[in-house]
Amino acid sequence: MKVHPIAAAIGAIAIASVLVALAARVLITQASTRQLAENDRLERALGPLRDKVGEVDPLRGVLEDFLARKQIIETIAPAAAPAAEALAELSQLPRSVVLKELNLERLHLVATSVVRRDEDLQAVIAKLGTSRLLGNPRVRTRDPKTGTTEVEMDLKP
Amino acid sequence: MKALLRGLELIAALVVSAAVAYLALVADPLDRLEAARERHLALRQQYLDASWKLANLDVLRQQLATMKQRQQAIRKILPDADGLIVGREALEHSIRAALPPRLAPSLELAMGNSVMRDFYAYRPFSMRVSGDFSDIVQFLQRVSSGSERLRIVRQLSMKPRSPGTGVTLVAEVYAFAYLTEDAMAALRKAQSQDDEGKKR
Repeated sequence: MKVHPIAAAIGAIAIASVLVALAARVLITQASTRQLAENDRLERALGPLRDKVGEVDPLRGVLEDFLARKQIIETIAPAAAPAAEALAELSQLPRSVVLKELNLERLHLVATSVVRRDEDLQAVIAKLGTSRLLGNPRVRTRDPKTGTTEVEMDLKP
Repeated sequence: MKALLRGLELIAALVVSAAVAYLALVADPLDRLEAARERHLALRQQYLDASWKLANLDVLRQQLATMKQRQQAIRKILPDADGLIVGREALEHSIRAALPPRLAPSLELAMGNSVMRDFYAYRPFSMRVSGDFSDIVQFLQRVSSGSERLRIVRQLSMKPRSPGTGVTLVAEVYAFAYLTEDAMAALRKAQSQDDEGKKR
């Protein structure tokens, strides 16, 4: 039987490819077996180690939870006006000042009061200017006849 | 020309047979070897981490105890949301608990709807209460800046009632709560299901 030389060459190439692939498969399988055995050894060694350190495993979760809440608080808290403390401070004003009404919008406070004398008003403005919680006090409106005065100021968060 | 064609035929045969042999005999074991190596790297990292933890176990125990205390404290300031909302009942309860007894009869509370942001939720509420100035300030301090919980007074007005009967406080306040990972995961799942439903 006479075989065409090209067909013979193709057949030889196919057989050679299969043989090389088989050899590669054997080598790779051996490497896999070695790697799996090594993994088994490592896993067996890890078991008791995990048992010993398992009690501190929640640390990461606790830390993440804490940091997430802290970040939110730090983002929101600067907008929180110390409203109650500011009101308490305003209640300490001299008796010559009669507080009529207070209006707070976020960090902006307007206090309406009756202050008869200009010098009393200046004293009040000066006192508010030294406050830890209140800043930039200024007269918004003043009726010289009745003494009704609106003083606006900013709250320091 | 004929020789060139033969050469091309042989090259094509080589490429095809190599590809078929690779796919049939080599690809699968190679994938398994790669997976085993990746598993080895992961196990090795876990082993190193566990060894490091074992070497520092006492320090880590102390850190965990400290962090748990700090977490408890910060959870009071920014408590967990009730699912994806700031719970109405819990909020009302905490406000009433802050109320001096003398102010209790005059308290009017109105709760707004809970609003969700990326990692937190808040509920606006308004309150109206009348009484002595000092009681009102004390109550406001407990509810807002002096509260263990994070609250923001958005708007406030205080006016005197009839002479000698104290003042009336009207305030709009926000109460905040933390959206846990579980709550956010549930929301994302519900949203993706909703999106899929819309596509269909």
